[in-house]
Amino acid sequence: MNRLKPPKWIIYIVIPTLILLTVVIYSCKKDQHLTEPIFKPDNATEKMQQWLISQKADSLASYAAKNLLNNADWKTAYTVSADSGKVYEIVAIPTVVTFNDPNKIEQRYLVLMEQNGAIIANIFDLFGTKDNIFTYRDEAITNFGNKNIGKFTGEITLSTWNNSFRRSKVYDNGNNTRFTRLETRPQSFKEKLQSVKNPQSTLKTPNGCQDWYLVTYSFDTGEIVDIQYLYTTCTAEACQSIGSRSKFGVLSVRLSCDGGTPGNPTNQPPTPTQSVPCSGKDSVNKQNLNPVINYLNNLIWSKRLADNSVEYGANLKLADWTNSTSYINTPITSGTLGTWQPGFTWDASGYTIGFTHDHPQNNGPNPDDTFIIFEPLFNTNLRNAGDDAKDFYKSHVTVTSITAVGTYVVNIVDWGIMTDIYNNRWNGKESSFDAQWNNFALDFLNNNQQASVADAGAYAMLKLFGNSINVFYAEQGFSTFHPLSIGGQTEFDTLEYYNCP
Amino acid sequence: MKTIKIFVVLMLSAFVSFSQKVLNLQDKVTMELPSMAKPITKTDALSHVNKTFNNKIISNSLSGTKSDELYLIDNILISLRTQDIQANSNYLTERKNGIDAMYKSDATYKSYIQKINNNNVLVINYRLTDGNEYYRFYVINAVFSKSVFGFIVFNNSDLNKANDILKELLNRLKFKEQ
Repeated sequence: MNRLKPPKWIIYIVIPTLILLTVVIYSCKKDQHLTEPIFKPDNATEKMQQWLISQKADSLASYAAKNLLNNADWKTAYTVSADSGKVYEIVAIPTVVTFNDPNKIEQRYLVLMEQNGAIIANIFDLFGTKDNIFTYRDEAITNFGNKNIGKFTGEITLSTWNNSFRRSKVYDNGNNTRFTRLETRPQSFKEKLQSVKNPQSTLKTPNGCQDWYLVTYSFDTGEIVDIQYLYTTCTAEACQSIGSRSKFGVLSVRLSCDGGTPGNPTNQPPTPTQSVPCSGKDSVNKQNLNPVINYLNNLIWSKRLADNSVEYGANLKLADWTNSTSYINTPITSGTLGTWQPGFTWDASGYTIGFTHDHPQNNGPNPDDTFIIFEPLFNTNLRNAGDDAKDFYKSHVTVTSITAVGTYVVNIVDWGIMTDIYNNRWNGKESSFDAQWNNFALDFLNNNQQASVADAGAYAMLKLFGNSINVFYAEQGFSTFHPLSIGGQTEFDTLEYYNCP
Repeated sequence: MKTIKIFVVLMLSAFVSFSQKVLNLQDKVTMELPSMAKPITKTDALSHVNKTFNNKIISNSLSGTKSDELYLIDNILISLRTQDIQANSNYLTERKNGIDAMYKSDATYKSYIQKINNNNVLVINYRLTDGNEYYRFYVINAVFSKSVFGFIVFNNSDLNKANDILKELLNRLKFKEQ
């Protein structure tokens, strides 16, 4: 039987062409979502930046707003109008988190939602594969409340714009399978939970306090599938629940607030919030609330408002060096523009444990001011007073710099390292040491163009001295000091409040 | 001697002849660069800095600085960065005062604020202890909404050439939004 053979031109031209075309079309389709979409510029950047600037009145929000202004990837800002009539402005916030699964990424977005003139700002963290996130990003943000989001597989976390965790939803092929949120439970619940997880624990919740849990529910059945005790809060002071993801992609939440009693999460590893910068926070706040110190700082500020051509300052002295609250009134003296000379006594006229002064040109804390507090260690009276007196001096001495931006307090945490720096890198080599400090500060100003010169100085101090010092900051007009730290969320450094428990 | 000096100046002027390469920064700013300005990556810039300046402050500074563009003109490195900014008419004065105070002990430090082509400009100049030198400049448009921050780092022996480059950069920098 003769089989019908196709002509040669079909075999050699048409079939290879069709195969090639199929390959090209498939490649194009696959590539479609592998790269970040190209953003069409609109006025989203302007709107979002204006909104952030308007939030800067509050002390804590001010830092969050500054960080977002400096670090959001503004060239990616765009607007989405949803069918519901709501308008969303969205901008990416670069992150550098990497996961054990190299296909997984976490992409963070600041989102402003406008409806009827009102604006609600949130941060969305999308966790999943890159193509999944970029394909379903808009839907995930505008339809966060819905059960289905396309074919998205991953997790979406919602936080307030200044980073307080709200809730999280897990999706599998577009279906919401689980959701997680913060809840409180009565004391009896914690005792029951503890007896299962840690029978030895006797952790009690004090009266008037609340226990917080991270509770995960099945979306379909509404049943609790996981519950973790997080912490206990005891005051109405501003607290933040910060969500973060481990290298394995597991969400955890920790507490950060001024007041409150951190709990003892029996199933959580210790968090880095116990770290060094928090150790001096309470004593710095107590010191600055002391009526004498408060009076001296206010008087220096009022003198500076009247005359900013010189520096004003006062020594901080105790009547009794065994009583760290026995501050005595000391005179305010003036220096020149750029200098003020502190004094030191260790006798019945007063026991000096630092100084407070203003910087009329609004530069921040600096190495010169910090290393001055080493000089009293060579004072005869202090040397003769014995090791207890020297240790007391070292653990209490502070340097306060008052600027129009805010007040900075520096203390020394690691005298060993700082003494080594003083002897080997500072003393006699001040110019080259200052050059390093200055350059760190100027790089910071280059990268964070909204930052103040005072913050740049504080940043450079932390960059040079690391955890060997603490730098505390209270915004002008506010009395609460927060430890500062170098932020590592992006490729380039930022200055942030350190989250203390 | 005088003839030689004039000749050197003429040679340098010719060497840094501008207006041959137009740089468009983020679609916000145009600048004209000398034809011999060579764009380089950060990695190449770091390698150049290590080889030419051999100064940790300069290499740390380059690593820690956000740059949109990096250029090399012979041994002179230029970094440029443009951004939207929320500033007011005191912005550069406040910045200058603060930085002046930081450099109060550095006799090599100089700073000035100038209006150039309606742009607000702050320039600071200082020398490191090994003779390498920085110009850092902060340029803001007339309505305080766009900025160009940058630096020029060079060896003191290239001071005249660096001066010419700075002058031409600032004179030929144009913001699209005036």
